Amino acid sequence: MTRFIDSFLKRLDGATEANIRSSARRNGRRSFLARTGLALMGAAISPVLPFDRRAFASEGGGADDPCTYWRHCAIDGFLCEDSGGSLTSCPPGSSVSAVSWVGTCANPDDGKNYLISYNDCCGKPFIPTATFCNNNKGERPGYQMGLYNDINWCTANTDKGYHCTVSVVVGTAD
Amino acid sequence: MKHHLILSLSVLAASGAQVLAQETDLQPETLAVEARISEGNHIYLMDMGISGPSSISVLNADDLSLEGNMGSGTFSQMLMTPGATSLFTGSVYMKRFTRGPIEAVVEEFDPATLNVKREIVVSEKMAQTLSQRGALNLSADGNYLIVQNATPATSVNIVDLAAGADLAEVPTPGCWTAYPAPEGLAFTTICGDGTLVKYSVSADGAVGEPAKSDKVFDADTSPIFGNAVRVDGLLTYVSYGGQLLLVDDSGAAPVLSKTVDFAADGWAPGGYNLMAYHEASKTLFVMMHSNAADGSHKSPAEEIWAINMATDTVVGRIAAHGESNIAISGGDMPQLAGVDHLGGVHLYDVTLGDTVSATERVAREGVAFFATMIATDY
Repeated sequence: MTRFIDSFLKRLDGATEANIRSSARRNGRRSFLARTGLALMGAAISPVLPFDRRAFASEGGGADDPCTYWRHCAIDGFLCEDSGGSLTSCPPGSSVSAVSWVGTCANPDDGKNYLISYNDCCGKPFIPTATFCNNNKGERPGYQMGLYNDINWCTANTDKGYHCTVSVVVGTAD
Repeated sequence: MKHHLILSLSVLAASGAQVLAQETDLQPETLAVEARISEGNHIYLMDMGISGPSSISVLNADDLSLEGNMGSGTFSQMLMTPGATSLFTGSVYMKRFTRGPIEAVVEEFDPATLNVKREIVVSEKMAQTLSQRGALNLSADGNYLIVQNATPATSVNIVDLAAGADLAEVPTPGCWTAYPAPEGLAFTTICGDGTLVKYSVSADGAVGEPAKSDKVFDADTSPIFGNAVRVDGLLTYVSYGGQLLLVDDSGAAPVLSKTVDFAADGWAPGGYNLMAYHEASKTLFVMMHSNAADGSHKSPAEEIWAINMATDTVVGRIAAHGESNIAISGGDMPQLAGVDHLGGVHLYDVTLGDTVSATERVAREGVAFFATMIATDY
């Protein structure tokens, strides 16, 4: 089973897994986590996924990490742009979630804050090789449901299977 | 035709076994099913499915070897009952996996044999959410399950375990989680206006008037986690910034009994099921990370802090391994179990005293793909 997990991890995201482990080896756990924490300001992470993008953050993040793109500041899910869709479109044959959560993200190009609607795309399996991001700027538990990113936002659709997530600018927040 | 084929194959297999036994003088082996997991202590790890089944791995607490698992549906919740007599799950089965109709099911497992004792089909409104302690609970008398719903409009489903059916749906708009009251059929939920609201339900399913606390937190400036633990009878929440809120939910309405500010120097709580309480030593364990900032509240643990709840002071800072969920065993020499953000399990021996420390005794990488909750049976 361990062999299977290793194989699965490599298939999912070999580079990520290697990065996180080599980073931990080079810098030691404390340093690794501290640097991760710094890099995650405004871009925190998810619980557990083995293909967790903290690996990139631990390496300094930056342009190589799609999760650091400014619109993704509160995203939690697989990127639709890696799943057959785009930043603002769902992959063919899927459906747009009827409801969504919202983030407020700063665009570094103009310094303005924008409202981002994080819609899930629904009705198909997730793509294991797609980039998974989990950022939590402004995220709140379900008592502020519109800011909550730990539920399946396909739940109100006829087809409730979670597929991927898009980040759509819907307004300015300033 | 099918029966004939099976019969033929069986005859062939039996003949083959006899020949083998004659030629090698070996006794044919007997195929069996393990009756149960080992005696002793175990860790239960929820590996939540987001596009298919969830799996609860059962690990031996001595060496974290795998002894078996249990399966439930997608977005599964998990609840180990007091005394580890049953393990409940609440999950959604999508009949065509990703589209079409669904069925929400509560299942009760025997944590020793890993068999399903029974299942109850419940309201499809069951929240499809990350496994969390506030989403599936038992009433104080153990006769009802309290289930978080979300469509995403929120409500709470009361499931009558004796009847094997839903008893009542309690609308809880703008509120999240449902922790059972210490007595009676009642629960407390966190609301976005900063209050806690207690709902009571009678045995016939009638829902009483909601009883609201004063405002105890600000969702914009000092939000609290949905995760709560019971500390010496008080429902205990923690804020993103590192303040404990101890709430007396035994009366008509929840009342904030006291707050404890324990975080310092840029450290803050982080994770998911991020607290665990060891009642015998009055020690609360909280996962912590440094350089806290907006959005860092789910960061993995760099340290696990031990707080003496009799003196309200931090009495230990334990080096962590990136955990995102923790649980504590009982007993005078407790063990702290955690799962890290990569699905690795870590088990610590805790040393109690004026100061509290812990040493990682055993760890195992890659146990789960999407670990969301951890529990013990000891």
